[in-house]
Amino acid sequence: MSSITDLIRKEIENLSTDATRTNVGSIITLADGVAKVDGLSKVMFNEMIEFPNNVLGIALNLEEDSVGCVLLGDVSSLKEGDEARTTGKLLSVPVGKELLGRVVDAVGRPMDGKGAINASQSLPVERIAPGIIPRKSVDQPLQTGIMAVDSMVPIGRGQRELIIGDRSTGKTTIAIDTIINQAKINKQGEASGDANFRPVFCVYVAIGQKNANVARTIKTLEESGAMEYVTIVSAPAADNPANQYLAPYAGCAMGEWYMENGMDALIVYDDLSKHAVAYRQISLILKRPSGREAYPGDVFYLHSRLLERSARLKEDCGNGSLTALPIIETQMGDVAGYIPTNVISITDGQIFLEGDLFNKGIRPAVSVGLSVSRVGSAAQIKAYKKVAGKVKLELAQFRELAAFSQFESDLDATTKASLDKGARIVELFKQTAANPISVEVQTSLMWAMQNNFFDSIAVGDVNRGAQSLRKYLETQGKEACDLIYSTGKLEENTEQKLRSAVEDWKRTFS
Amino acid sequence: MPSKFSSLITKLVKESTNEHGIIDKSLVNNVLVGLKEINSPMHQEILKEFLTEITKTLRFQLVEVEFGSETSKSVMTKLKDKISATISRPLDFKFTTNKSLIAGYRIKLVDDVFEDSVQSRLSKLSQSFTS
Amino acid sequence: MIILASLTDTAQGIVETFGIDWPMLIAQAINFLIVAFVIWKFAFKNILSTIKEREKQIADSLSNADKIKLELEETEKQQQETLQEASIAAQKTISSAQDQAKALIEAQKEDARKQAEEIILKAKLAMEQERDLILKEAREEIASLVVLTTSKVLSKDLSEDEKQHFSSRATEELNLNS
Repeated sequence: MSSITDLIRKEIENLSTDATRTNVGSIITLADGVAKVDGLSKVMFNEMIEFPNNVLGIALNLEEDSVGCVLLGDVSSLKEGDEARTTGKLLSVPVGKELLGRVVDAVGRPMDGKGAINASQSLPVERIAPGIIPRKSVDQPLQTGIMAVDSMVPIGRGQRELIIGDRSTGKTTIAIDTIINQAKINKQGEASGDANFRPVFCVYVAIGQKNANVARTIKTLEESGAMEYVTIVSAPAADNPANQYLAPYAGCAMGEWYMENGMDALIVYDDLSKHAVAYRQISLILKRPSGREAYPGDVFYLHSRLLERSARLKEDCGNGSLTALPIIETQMGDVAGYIPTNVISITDGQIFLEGDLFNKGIRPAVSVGLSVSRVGSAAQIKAYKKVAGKVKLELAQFRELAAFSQFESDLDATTKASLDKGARIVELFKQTAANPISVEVQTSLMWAMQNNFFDSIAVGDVNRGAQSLRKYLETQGKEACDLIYSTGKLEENTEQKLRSAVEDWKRTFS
Repeated sequence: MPSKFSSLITKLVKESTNEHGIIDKSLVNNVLVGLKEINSPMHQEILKEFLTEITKTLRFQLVEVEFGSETSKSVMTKLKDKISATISRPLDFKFTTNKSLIAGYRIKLVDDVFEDSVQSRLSKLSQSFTS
Repeated sequence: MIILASLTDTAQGIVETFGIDWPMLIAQAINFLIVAFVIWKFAFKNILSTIKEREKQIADSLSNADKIKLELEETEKQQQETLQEASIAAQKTISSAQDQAKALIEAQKEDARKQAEEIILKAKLAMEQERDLILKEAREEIASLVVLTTSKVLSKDLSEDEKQHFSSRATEELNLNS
């Protein structure tokens, strides 16, 4: 109790006795989470507005004699005529490593019941993206741990790779697996004590999702031990649209802090379709003119300004990076929709997930033809580049030939070989959720495939074989993998070791 | 956007103000009566613009001052002088007593609020505890 | 001459004695020759070649038997070696399996320990959080009570003069440009 009286005494001593000046206004109309406020002549764009009962708002529309505010929090306690006052602060969120392992809302308030977040720093939610000068081209890999992605559409640190597909085709799974793999790599790197190791911290932004889904995601991350490297920003479907609109920017500010402090971060926006919908709702209520599909005119800028904030910075600017994995949900596989085309044009490539493949049991259901990474093999380690260089082409050929061969009964030898190889690669790429494969094992598996070690195994058994080989490589054949991990290259002696390991495995596999 | 009547409206507003530049109710009434007598075909539009302008001017002229207790004339004049010295336009002061302030003042000038009262200091204190 | 004549007589006597009939004898001889030829041609020759073959086969199988014996010995030797190798490999596998099992048990123990620690840590954290929360609530409650009481007391107990004084001092300090 003495601590409390001390505290009160201290607060009284520190209390300023100056006259306060506040800029106030009163609510004229209040509807759907948006308040029109009279007065507030000194308000800034995007400034936080304080309403009674600790409700916050953001000034989005500055009109001649009124201000349009979107409200964050419980709107039901407000009424017409209530006083609103400016705060002189732009909306900002706490940032820093204190947020790791936490679940916060769109304004950075904890939602996980783990107590207050004692972050020492905060950053405004809306910020200008890094310019041309501090940027650098993407050349460091960010391993997703998913073979189909790492081999065909490699992602680099600082890249923006869109994950796009119909509902329930495994979009979130790819993002979560990537986060889990980062945690795995981080733990491995930290255990090795390598001074040059650069961990990747993750931010997962859940926009307009069901609370049950968010809870499941958190559980998956906790079970795989990845939560300690992740901050989750959640604006669930039950939240008002203003929170859903702000959540990605808040998450981005948290990610930017790592980038600006010379660290690497990964941010997942799950998903931007719902973000656009939330923004559409706000815009329509604010009576902004609407365009195609009733989206406002600046819906492109809405996403471009967000995704432009992901970057890889030069060494003299700290060498940090922020990689973004935005997710877009398509309707019936239509990538030509308004929001999908917008985001496709902003990002540096996309991973397209096909419902048909998913239903056929090919998971992750990465479509070879429609998935690209504009960074390409610059974001692969040398060893992987060597073995996976041709695989995308081979698989594309396979898909084409497979379509043709449906009508043809007798095929020539080369076509048959090509089909066979393709079918085996498809089997090799099948991977369960939350089961990322390290890059050295991926390289070894790819190497074994390219050196025809899987040819004598029936197509249906290839996946089982790959799993058994993986287990073998992680235990007995560790030497070769360690060499690939440490050098990043596939030199002659490494290859020899790998060959003997794979041959050994082959003898035991049946 | 300046309307076609803007010069007329400005004149009418000027007619509605007294020698201190403050809008006077009786003068406004005179103008309204005058307008009705002329009965021009654009009466409605002129009336609308005139009233909008009057409301706006009133808003800018009004200074609401609340004191926590009965206050002597000298304090009021001092306050008036102080405010008039910084703000050049004519001002209409309205003094009231608000017991909830306990002591001190609260001045509302258009949408700016200046406050120094026992109540505001106490609420500042309670805020510093909760934040 | 006399002797020669006597010999011829003797011979003639013999022929007559034994009853040799020359034409008969010649015919017999020719018959014999024909039969002998036929037998030679169709029976004897085949039998001979068969016998020769048999002899060769026997010799071959004898030599083969020797070879096989040698090979058998070699195989036995190899078998012995393979068995030995296999047993060494088996030993190795067993020991490595044992090692792995040990490592696994260790790892599981470690895991269990870690989990226990984590649970304790979590519980501690939860307790701390609860304490913080209660403290914070208490602080806020007390603070608001303090403020409320103060305002009640002040509004009643402050004299009009004191209130006036406060107002006039505050007015003095007013600065619109702040």
